[in-house]
This record gives sequence, structure tokens and C-alpha cells, in this order.
Amino acid sequence: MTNETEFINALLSKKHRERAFKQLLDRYQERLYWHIRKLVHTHENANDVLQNTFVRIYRSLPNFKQNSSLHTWMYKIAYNESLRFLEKHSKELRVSLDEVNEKHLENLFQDSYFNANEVQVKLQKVLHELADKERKVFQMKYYDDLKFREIAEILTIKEGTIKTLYYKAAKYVEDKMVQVMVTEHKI
Amino acid sequence: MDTFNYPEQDKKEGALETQRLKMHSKELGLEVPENYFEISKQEILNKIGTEKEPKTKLISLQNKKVLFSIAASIALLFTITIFQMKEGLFKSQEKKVRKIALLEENNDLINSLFVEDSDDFVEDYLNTKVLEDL
Repeated sequence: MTNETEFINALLSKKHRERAFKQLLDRYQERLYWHIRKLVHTHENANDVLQNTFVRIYRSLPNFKQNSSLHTWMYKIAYNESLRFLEKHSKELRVSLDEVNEKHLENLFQDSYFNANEVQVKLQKVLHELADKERKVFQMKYYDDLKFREIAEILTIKEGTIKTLYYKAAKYVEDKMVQVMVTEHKI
Repeated sequence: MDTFNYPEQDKKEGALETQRLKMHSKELGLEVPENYFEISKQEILNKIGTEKEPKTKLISLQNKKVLFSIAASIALLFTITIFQMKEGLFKSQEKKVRKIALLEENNDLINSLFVEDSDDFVEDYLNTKVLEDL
């Protein structure tokens, strides 16, 4: 039995559940928070989604089939919770998901937990010039350090397509940021 | 099983992860309130504490969608049953009509056996109709 299987059994046992879940929080809370924050932008939004994500993880543990690793499964739940949150907002505001994204990005620039210089603001804007899928793939690979295979599982897209999306996005961000650096710092 | 631990990270891996998480503030300018993760952890544990056991999902009968689905299923079942009954009725009626037709056909055949064959009718017909036309 692998360590992960033992750990999952602990999460499911009455006796060890509480301690195991604390360990899970210690290991994953911050990672999942940043994963969510990049999808929903502001701290307040990310806090709501993070809480819902861990409650859902806890509730869904008995149904975890172990077809993927616990790590990938939790990222997928966090991703789905973020989407659910954005869709709820899009319904409430009666606007498209793209428009909700734009609105949240505007809110981010007003957020008290956004403290960026000009270059950082520019990077945020460049990231939002990417197509939705390209941006998600780029962020999951570059900032969350997920494997291509894991991103493919989370987004349910073929691994080959994920690689193409990532390299295209990375090239775009690199070119744009080089331009910014040249103009800003007159390199 | 009394001892368990989440699979350990080695120190190098852990340090790399910490560095990467810091990229969010360094590169993207994203920040969190002080002690946020400790406070949030406690809030999550409190929420889960009130749940006690991981839940299996109960479907509320007060949910309009669920009620609508149940009503639609009953209506569909009812329609199918009625349709099948009608179809059965039509089939049995069709069988009866076929039997009657067959009986009548047989009667004609039987009756024809009792009619005497006569050449007079043919002769009359030839005389009056065909020969007159010539």
C-alpha cells in the first residue's frame, strides 16, 4: 500500500480523519488558494472559493475513486469551484463569462490586496490578452507547477493540445514583456 | 493503522515550492492579509466540524427541478401505458376484422359451389352485345 493510499484511508477513517484533514490543509491550503486566486482575481473572491473547495473535498472524499492522484483531484475540485463561482456571478449580473472576468480584473486593480508596480500591472494585462484556455494553461504550468498530464486531466483537454497552448502562451507573454522592459527601462 | 503521514516532500522540493508560491506577490503583485492562512484553516476546520460525517447527497423533494422531473416521468409512464393498451386494442380489433373478411370470402367460395354452371348466359351476352356491335 502506497503512502498516498494509507493517507486516503486515514482521511476516510473516523479515528484519523480530523488529524489527516489538518495535514491536508497544511499541505494544500496555500497552493490551492493561489490556484483559485488567479482564476477569480480578488482576495475576497478567492477566500470564498477556497472555503467551499475544502468543504467539497471533505464531502466528496468517500466518492474519490483514485483514478487520479489526490493532488490532481483536489486541483480539479478547486478549478470547478472557481468556475461555479464565476458562472454564478455571470448569471447574477446577466453578462457573459468573459465580461465577468473583465469586471473581476478591474476589481483586482482596486483590491487592497493587490500591490503591484507598473510592470506587474502590465503582466496582469498581458495575461488577460491571452485566450481563456491559453491563460489558464499558462498559469497552471508556470505558477502552479502542474504537469502537462495533470492540467490535461483538470481541463479535460488532450495533453498534446495543452502543450501547444502553453508554448503559444509563453511565447506571447515573453515577447510582450520584453517589449515592456525595453520601453520602460530603455534597455 | 495508527500512524500515517501525508507523503513527505524533501527539503529541496519544499524550498522550491515556497519560492514558487512567492512568485505570486513578486511577479503578479498579489497579496494576502497577515496570518490569513492560519485564520482560514481554522474557519475551514470549524465548517467541517459542524458537518461531522462526510455527507452523501440527499435529494430534496422540495426542489422544483426534482419535482418537475418526477412529474414528467410519471406523465411519460402513464402515456406509454395508455398507448400500449390502445395499440393492443387496435391489434385485436384488426384481427377480428380479418377473421370476418376471411369467413365471408370462404362463404362466397362455398356458395359458388352450389350455383349451376350454364352456357345460356354466355350465349345471350354474345347475341345481344357483341354481335350487335359488329
